[in-house]
Amino acid sequence: MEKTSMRSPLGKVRGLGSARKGVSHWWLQRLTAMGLIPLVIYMVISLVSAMGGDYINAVAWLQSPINATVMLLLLGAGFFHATLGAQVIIEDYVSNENRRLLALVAVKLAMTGLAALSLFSVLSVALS
Amino acid sequence: MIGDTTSAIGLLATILTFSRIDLERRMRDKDKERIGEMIMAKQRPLSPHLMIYKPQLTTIMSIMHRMTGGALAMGSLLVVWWIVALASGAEYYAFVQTIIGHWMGQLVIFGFSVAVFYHLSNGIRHLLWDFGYNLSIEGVHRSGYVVLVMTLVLTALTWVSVWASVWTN
Repeated sequence: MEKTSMRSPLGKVRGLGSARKGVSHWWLQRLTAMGLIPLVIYMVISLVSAMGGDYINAVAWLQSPINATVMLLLLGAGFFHATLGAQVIIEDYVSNENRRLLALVAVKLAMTGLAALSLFSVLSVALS
Repeated sequence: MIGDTTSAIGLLATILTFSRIDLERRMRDKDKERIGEMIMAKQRPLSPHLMIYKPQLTTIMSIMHRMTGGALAMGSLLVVWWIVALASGAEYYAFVQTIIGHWMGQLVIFGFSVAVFYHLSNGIRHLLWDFGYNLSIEGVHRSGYVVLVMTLVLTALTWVSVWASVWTN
């Protein structure tokens, strides 16, 4: 980098690569990671302090607006982050191109399905 | 006539090209097999390889980060199951609660919590690296030990709180 340039190394490589998405995977993985830190910490504390109740308590817990919102964000960011991570693992270990594509599509579809199922379930409890 | 000749030459060239690609592919597969056999027979020196690499804090912790990440992705199925149970009604939720309450269920959740706290702590270590901190050998080792201690402390703190919480609720 030239001494006079005001651009950061990240700013320089953004928008590069054959699909003009050079660092988007890397960046989204970090972004979701940073978001997940407070979400995971809040969720652990909230879950632990609510532990030991029955169905009625659990429903009331998830109907609290903050718990429901954190749960939705946690699931959204979590499944996104997990999909990005799983993609890297598959790209590293599956060398056969056909099998790699198949595995990537299967994982992405499965993650999307799980995210949709869990987000819908949270909403149906929270809004009931 | 000239047209026929050129298209014949074109066809021949195409056939030659494709058979060449096929030949190259078959040779690549054969090479792979041979290299695999050579690795198995240890006939030539290899670049640093898992089998001969001394286990180090850095490598083990890196592999553990990936393994806990994979475990959490798998474990997300259990989280989804619990939420779906909650949305399915009291009867099914009670059934899931008996499984969660069983010692084997508790063991799985304990393992899940260890994976959460390790991946969280080491994830923060990774983010600090991205910001340029702890990049020296000492920094990498020091932060590595901090992550291991944090994992133990957070896991212990959580489960003591769980017992206290179940006791009071």
